[in-house]
Amino acid sequence: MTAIGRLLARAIDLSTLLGLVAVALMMVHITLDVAGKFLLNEPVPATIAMVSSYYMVVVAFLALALAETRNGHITVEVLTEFFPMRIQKHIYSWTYLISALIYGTLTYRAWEEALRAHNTGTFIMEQGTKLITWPSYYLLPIGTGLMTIVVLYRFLIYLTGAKSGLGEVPTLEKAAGPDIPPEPASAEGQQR
Amino acid sequence: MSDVEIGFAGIGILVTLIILRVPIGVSLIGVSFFGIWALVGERAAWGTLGIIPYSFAATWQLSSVPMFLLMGFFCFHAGLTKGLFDAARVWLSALPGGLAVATVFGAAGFAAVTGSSVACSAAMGRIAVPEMMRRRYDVSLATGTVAAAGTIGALIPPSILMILYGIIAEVPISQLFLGGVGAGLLTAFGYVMVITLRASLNPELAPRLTEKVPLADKLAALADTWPVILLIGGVFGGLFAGLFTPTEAGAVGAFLSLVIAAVKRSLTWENFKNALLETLLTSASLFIIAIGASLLTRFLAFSGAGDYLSDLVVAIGADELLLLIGISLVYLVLGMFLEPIGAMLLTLPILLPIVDTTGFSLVWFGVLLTKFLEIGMITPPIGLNVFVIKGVVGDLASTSLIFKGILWFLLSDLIVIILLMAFPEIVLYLPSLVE
Repeated sequence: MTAIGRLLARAIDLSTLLGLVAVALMMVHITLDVAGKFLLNEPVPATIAMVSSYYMVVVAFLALALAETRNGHITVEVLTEFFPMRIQKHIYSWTYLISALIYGTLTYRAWEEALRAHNTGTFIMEQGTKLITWPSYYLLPIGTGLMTIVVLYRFLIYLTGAKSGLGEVPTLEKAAGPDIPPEPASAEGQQR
Repeated sequence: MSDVEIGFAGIGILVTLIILRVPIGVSLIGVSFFGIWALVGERAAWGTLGIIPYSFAATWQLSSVPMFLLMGFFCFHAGLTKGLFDAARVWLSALPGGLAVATVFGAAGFAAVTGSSVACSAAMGRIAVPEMMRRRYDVSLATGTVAAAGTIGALIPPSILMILYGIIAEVPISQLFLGGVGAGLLTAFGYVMVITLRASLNPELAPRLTEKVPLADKLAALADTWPVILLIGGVFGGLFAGLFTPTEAGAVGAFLSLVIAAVKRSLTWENFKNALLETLLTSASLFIIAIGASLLTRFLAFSGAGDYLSDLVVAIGADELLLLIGISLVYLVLGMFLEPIGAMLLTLPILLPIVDTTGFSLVWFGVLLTKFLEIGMITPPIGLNVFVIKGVVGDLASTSLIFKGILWFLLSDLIVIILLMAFPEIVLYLPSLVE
């Protein structure tokens, strides 16, 4: 189990790296386009198509698994926080199974859609420039697929009690924001 | 079961899943998928699930979210807040509660480069609270001020809440941004009034500063605000003059803040990477919910639950004021418990059809909604800004002490809300100039 977790962690590292590059490129690409448009009267071709079909798809889907390992997905604890820690852990762990089912379904469907786009050779025309977009359709099931495996793995770790190799934030802790120390609720969460 | 009943059953299941702590995005997608299946059939359900997630995410408009987030994180890490606060401090120190007033001004300035109130609170908290403690300000006043002042962050443009609202409600984002200016400034003005009043009535809360700052120093402090002024001028000048789309404004803003940070040598490689990472994480966790909300909109439209509700509102003869009061109460309660963007994305699919039947301006409603959600950031028991400030100040103040300091500001917010409802021009004047 631990080895699988380590492998998954590597996959997440890779998807994170792609995500970081996409964010940085998005900024640079758009800025160059704006500068080109106003200074040289020469915009960068297919900027809108590149940003929406590639960078955005990467940002939206490839970081889902990373957010999961940091407990970064937005949840509501209004009710569950009043439960004893032990019960909370059981409830939270079973939500992994629900997440896995939904993300699994989404992955299956998105994969079909990617195959369809591939077969028809989907592309976008933007001011005379043709940008092939079908490969970007695969990014979605890759991102949600990784997410599915990660939540499934977390559920299995819970069931088997095996040691996780994922390096994730434990189920009952919240991830901290940028330089912001964890909120008090999570400090209580640590004193089990 | 009739279609409307399926719609309401769906909402019921959705709420149940969410309070059992199933991630909001997962709950939305799951309920909408099976809901559409039950209403229209298997084909429609698979069809929607295949198309919406990609087509929602892969849009130019939505890309303004990561770009404005990135700009805010760069500014946060580059410490651009300090110049603003220092300038406000030397110019306003003579006022009762001058440091707290300066905090509000600093937050309003930082709000113009960041789209989230948590970042705004955190940035101000780290700079302003130690300064206020050094001058023996009341802890509750000091911490309450930074937590409340942070809410200006999502009102004054840029605002992530407004971008997502604009996309879902199909309202131009620049119009919402302009509308937010009035509401943000009014909020800031209200907070300043609260502080000066409290400090005048009880000088022990905020001891007066005695030293005089020479004019030369005052001017020098102003000079330190150039980065923010440059950013605001470049980004919003371009956006409101119609030269930039929101995405372009965000990207150029992020790039400019990166350059400014490089010139000031205040951005490390580590911070640069963190800013990218935070942008990525925040975007991904927001987008999956937004995709879910988009699916829920489809499901509820098929069910006719929205129409049913708006018919109901008409049938019981609810006038607009009653409706507004109802909506206000719903959001004040939701805001107490939910994270604001989640709360907005969850409720918009239900609420927008109802709002559509009234004559409300959607720009005005969006700004008002943002204001409500921001109040939710500082109301107990779940007030994200308060938690962030608690994290920044550590043992200095308990969470309840910070909430206590906020009470007065909530009073001012209540008046601001009433003013925004009574005089929609406060919000709509600026957008009307550009239309």
